[in-house]
Amino acid sequence: MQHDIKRLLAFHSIENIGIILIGLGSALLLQAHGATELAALALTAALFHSINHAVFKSLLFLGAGAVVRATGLHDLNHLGGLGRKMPATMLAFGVGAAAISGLPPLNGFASEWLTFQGLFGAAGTAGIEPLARFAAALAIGGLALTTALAVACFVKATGVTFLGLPRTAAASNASETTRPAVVAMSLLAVTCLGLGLAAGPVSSALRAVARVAFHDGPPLVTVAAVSAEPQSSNVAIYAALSVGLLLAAAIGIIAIASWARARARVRRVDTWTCGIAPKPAFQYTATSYAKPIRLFFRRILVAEREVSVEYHPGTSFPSSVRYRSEITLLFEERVLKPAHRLSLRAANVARKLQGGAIQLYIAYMVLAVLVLLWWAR
Amino acid sequence: MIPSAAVTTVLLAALQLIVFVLFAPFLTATIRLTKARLQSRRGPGLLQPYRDLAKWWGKLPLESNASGPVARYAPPVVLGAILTAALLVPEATSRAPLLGWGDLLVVVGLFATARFVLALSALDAGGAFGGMGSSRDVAISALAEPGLVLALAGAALAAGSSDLGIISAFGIKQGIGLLGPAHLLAAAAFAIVIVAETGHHPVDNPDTHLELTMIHEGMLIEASGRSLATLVFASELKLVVLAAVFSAAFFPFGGATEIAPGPIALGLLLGLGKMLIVGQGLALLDASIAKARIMTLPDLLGLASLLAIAGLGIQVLLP
Amino acid sequence: MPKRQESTSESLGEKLNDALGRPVPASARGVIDAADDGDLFFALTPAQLGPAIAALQGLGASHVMLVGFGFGKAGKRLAVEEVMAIPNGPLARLRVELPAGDPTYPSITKLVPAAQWDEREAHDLHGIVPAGHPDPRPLVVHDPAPPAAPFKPFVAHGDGVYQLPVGPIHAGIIEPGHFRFSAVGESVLYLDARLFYTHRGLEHLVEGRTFAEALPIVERACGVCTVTHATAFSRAVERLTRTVPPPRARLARVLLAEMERLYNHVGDLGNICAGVGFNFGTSRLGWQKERLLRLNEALTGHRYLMGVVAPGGLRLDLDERGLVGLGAAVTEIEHEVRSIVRLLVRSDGFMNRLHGLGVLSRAEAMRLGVLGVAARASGLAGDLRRDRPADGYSDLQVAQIGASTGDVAARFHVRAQEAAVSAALIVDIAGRLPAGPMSVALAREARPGAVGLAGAEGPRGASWLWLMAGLNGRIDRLHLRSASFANWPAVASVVPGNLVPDFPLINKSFELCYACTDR
Repeated sequence: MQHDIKRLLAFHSIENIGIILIGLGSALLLQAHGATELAALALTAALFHSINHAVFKSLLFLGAGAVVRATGLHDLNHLGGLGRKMPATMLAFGVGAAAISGLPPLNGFASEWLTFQGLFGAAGTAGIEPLARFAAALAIGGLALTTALAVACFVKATGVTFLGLPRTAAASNASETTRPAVVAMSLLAVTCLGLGLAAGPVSSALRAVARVAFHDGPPLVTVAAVSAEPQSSNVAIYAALSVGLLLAAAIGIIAIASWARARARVRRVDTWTCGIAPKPAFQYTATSYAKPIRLFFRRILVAEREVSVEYHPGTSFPSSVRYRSEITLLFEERVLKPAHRLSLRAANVARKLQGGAIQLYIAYMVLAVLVLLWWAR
Repeated sequence: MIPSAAVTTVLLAALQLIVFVLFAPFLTATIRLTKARLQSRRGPGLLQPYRDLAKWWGKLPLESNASGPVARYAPPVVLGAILTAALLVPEATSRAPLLGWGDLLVVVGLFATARFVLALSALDAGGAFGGMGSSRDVAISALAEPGLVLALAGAALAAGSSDLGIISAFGIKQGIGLLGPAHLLAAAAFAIVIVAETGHHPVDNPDTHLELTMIHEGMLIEASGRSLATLVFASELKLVVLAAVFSAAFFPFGGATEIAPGPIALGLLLGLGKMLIVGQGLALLDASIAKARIMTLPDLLGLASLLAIAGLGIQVLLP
Repeated sequence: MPKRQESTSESLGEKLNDALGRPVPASARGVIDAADDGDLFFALTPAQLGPAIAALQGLGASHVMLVGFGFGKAGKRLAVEEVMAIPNGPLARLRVELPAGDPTYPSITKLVPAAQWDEREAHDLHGIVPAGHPDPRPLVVHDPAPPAAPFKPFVAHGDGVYQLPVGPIHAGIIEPGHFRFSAVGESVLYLDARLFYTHRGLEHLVEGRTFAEALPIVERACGVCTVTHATAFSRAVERLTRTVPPPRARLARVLLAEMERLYNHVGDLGNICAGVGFNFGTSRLGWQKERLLRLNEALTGHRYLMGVVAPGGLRLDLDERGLVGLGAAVTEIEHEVRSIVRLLVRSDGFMNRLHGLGVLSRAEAMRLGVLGVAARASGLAGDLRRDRPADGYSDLQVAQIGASTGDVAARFHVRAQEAAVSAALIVDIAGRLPAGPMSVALAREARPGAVGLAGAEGPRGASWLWLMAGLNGRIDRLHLRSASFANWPAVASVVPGNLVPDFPLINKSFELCYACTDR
């Protein structure tokens, strides 16, 4: 819903902090019921995700900064086609987007996998009250929804910014960002991949830390894989490196098969627009991209939609149709704004009390002393 | 003579890969054939999807002037992710063939990777239909995802692990007793998700020619030649993998519990049979109900989530 | 034939005289026109056109068509003629001959929104300028010669609005048309339709030809309204030549027109199913349509009924063997269709898609001059078979079907019920077609300059034909205003506010032809 590239990223911080808190919450729940190993696992998830979030969010903010610097624009609806001018930024931003969307084999997936395992543990541990277990089970669904929405959001953010045709002159005149920024982004992107592939060792190390927090057993060391033991006998494994290698091998073989011979023989044509010449205005905008989700969740995401139509005088033939839409942020409207208004009103009252006259303040002091005396009586 | 573990693994993995790859177009063909018969048409032959793939593979690819590396290299990534997922799902045996483990969350994650890359590539050419298909696909998947994960969570909690192999082995051991109310609710939820994820009625129309109603086809509109063949094959394979996950998690009966040629062959045949049944179900849906209005999809997919939650509730709250 | 209403005509003339402030030349009234059927004719100055139309509207008259044509030496002078229909009264033709060198007249679109496309078409094809037209963009000619501005699609603006181009080349096998949606995601804000990709210049092609030569061309304006257009043409010629077809032909024309309506309606019901991807309905109804086409072939030798209706009656008699089994076969098909429709109506998933979609309000339908199924589904009455019965319809009672909600479901129901009415008419007529000749020779030659005006109610509504006779029994000018032409603006007007993926369904619920719009 948010089409300012930086605000969009900021909103996703809330999402990621939520994921970290899910890990922390299940850790505490499990610890309280004596499932120490699982508690350590959930805490590991929280720690791991905090690190990952730091990495990919920095990466994404750097990418967004590069975009803003190159175009002077924040609004996704005015960007587009930057990938041609800023290939390195696109690649780095894409890796960050995939990581924050929780896609294997990147780091975001590894820590979300651990978070899921923590929830599975909480929902499956017999000692915990049924209602709490049920809540943990519901959180599994919530986390799945969050991840899928993140995919939608970051396909939008990456695709509308970097792919297709430039929607404005500023976007078509963009150029690649500075070399230091590219180096920094590349390093962070490699870190995303590295933390993802080395999820096993990293989480083992973090688990040692987590164990210290809960009890002091010997740290379990798994080299190639993250593993979890929701119940004593069964093990769930995510061998990130193996999956990564397998994925790379599969992609490589198909890519070679597809392009080795055909590479030279590709015919370039216009994008298909039903037989007329393509224009940038035909592209899906960010607002449009998010619209199905906006409509699916229309109970929460209430939009003020306004279509204003002007007519030729005296007829019903339109001379212009304009659209304007704003999402009413329910939380902001129903919680923050009333609180804000309340504090403003309180401040107004306070201002009346603070008249600025010395006599008034002396009177307050006297009054306060009297009240205190009466109270301490 | 007992073959060494490494050889067994390689053989089993190769077997599963080959069977999945060869079977995927066939499954699509059976769906189309049944659909045609239900509409009193003769329908294409069972080899038509293979012929289509071969035809596209040999064609001169067209690329949009606007698109770049994303559209070009997305198809291998999409298919690669699904192929990787295919190796993590137990089919003939109750154990995923290659790595010995197959975590359901990793399978779900690999599907998400495929979707992310495909949806992104659809935006590359800057056309309206690609964006439209992409936008609809990610939105519908976002609705389907909780149902998918919650349904599998039900099975995972019962078995005590999120590993599909362990879930499958647990199911085989339980036998018919596995099919309690919670289990069946989760299975129903998963069935709805399969419909949404593979683009069948009432969510999507897999063979529509109406540009404005396309979802999956919209994303493929700029693909041609080998890219098109790769992406179409990936979606055919995705159905096979989803059906395999369905049977491993909910109806694992008949899967081999020991590594021996006889049980493996039996497990394989039964597994393929279960996939055909899933395919026939989809064909029946396509032929017999209308496509739903897009704004009613939250109701349908919300139902999947609710069924799964109800199953979990029975499991957790009423032990 | 409309009833002669001399007194009404007289008083109409008075009222118009009052409205125009000075008398309409008495000599002009009904003199040029020799059709002798009570059509009112007024020769007006450009400034008189608007007031005259307003006066007729005051009597409840509605727009039929506006014809632009050239006359005089080599067609150098230009004229427009607005045709209006007075309910239960005659047709009125208001002709304005434009001064040489200044082919401009005040646009009537503000008064008669339904004339919007007529005026744009007259401008593109004849260079007649409707001054003050609210939407003066090209309509027929897509890329006019430089001084004129090229066609620019009308689009909405605003944050996040994108344009969705669909057509002229479609993925399916349908006729070409370009639809430019302005949308935000799935919500349509505005739709601009651009047609006339299949403009073949048929009206120009028939100029100077004999009636017999022109018939196959007019008949082929489109493939699924052949009887309608051939009948409208034949009636126009018959009015010009004061010919009355024999009883057998008069009734056989009804039979053919109803066969055309029936196979169109059955096919269109199936197309609505296709619009929601409901394969069951599409394939079952498609088969019933095919059976009807085969009956057509058995009856006339042509699946789409071409080459049968002709001025003076029918060109060929109906096949006796085809006629014998017709009633029984149509009854059986109608039963099948009825049971399929019953199943469709019982399917919640299907009907939910249809309800509340693409709503054409009664007021909007009236404003845009919508016709046929679309009008009757929006609560308007209007059916030439009853309002201005010709041929065998004069002695028949055609049951009127209507609905009021104006949505896709209403159009679906109206079609289904009209199909049943058509089937009943066919069964009735097939059993009692009188013996006798199937055609007569034209009674006399048409007087040069006379205009024959005739309409026929086709599957999509009333198609009207305006035919000006030339020398030696040849055609001077011809204008065919098909029902699709009149209805297209309504399709574009109901779409905003609906969702993008619902457009195919809305479009199919109108199911208009492109070819007979473009001509």
